[in-house]
Amino acid sequence: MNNTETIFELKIDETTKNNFKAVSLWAKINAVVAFISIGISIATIILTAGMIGADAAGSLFGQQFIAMSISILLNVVLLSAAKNIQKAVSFTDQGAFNKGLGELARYLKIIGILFIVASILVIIIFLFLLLVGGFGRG
Amino acid sequence: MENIMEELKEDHLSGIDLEVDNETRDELHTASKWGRFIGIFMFVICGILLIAVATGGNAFAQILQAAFYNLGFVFAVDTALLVVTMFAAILFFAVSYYFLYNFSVKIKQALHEESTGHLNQGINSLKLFFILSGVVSIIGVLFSLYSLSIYL
Repeated sequence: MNNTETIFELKIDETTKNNFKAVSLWAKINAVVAFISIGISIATIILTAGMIGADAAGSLFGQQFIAMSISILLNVVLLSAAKNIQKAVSFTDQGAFNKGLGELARYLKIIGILFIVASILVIIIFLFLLLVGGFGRG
Repeated sequence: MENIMEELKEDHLSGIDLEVDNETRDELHTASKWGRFIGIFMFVICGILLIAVATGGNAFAQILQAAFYNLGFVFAVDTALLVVTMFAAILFFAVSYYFLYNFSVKIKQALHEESTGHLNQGINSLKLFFILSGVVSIIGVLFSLYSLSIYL
């Protein structure tokens, strides 16, 4: 059976298309605002370098580098999802539609995995503090 | 020329409509699974924050005041007002992640029951989630721009 051939009754009507259009618009806004935010963070580090010194600014940039990289990766995926969904709805492109939804799923998956990693880190830090506190008292 | 080609392409495809094929179903299923996880995770975080603010609101307000001062906001902020603002912010986050959770639930229902109505409700919830996130992001960028302008 052809993969694109549908045997299900689930249909995409005009309301769905309009909602997908709005989703792609706002997803794009979110991604662009996130890129602007990263730009502002870099500008702030550069501008404060004069006050706190180049070494401290370099250290600050190093600390924020991972967060910025993750944010760029996430928002590139979101922007790609938004562009593909918009293209799919405008030109009735099934391939772009599936690709866009795939990117959206990937975006949510990355956030979910980041939450899991952050939770594990918080638990490890909490356990470490408990252990240090326990030994400190003993 | 490019516009004419795009218009021709659009006309040519106007008879064909988008459909929910097997690949679309897989992608929607994955998105709904992770959306549900993120929604529940954020509800737990909001719950923890609500309890923290309710029990130690004054301490939180002082930390926020110090943070505002470091960002260059030199005006004094009332502690009670800050606590109320923190409650409002947590509720705002809870509501926005409720929409992501609702997206997941409705998409799952739509795939299970072959219901276009549920699909529309799900996508509408996703739209509202992105609108609320977008508004928060824009406010955040405006704050960052304000603190950046202090250094200029």
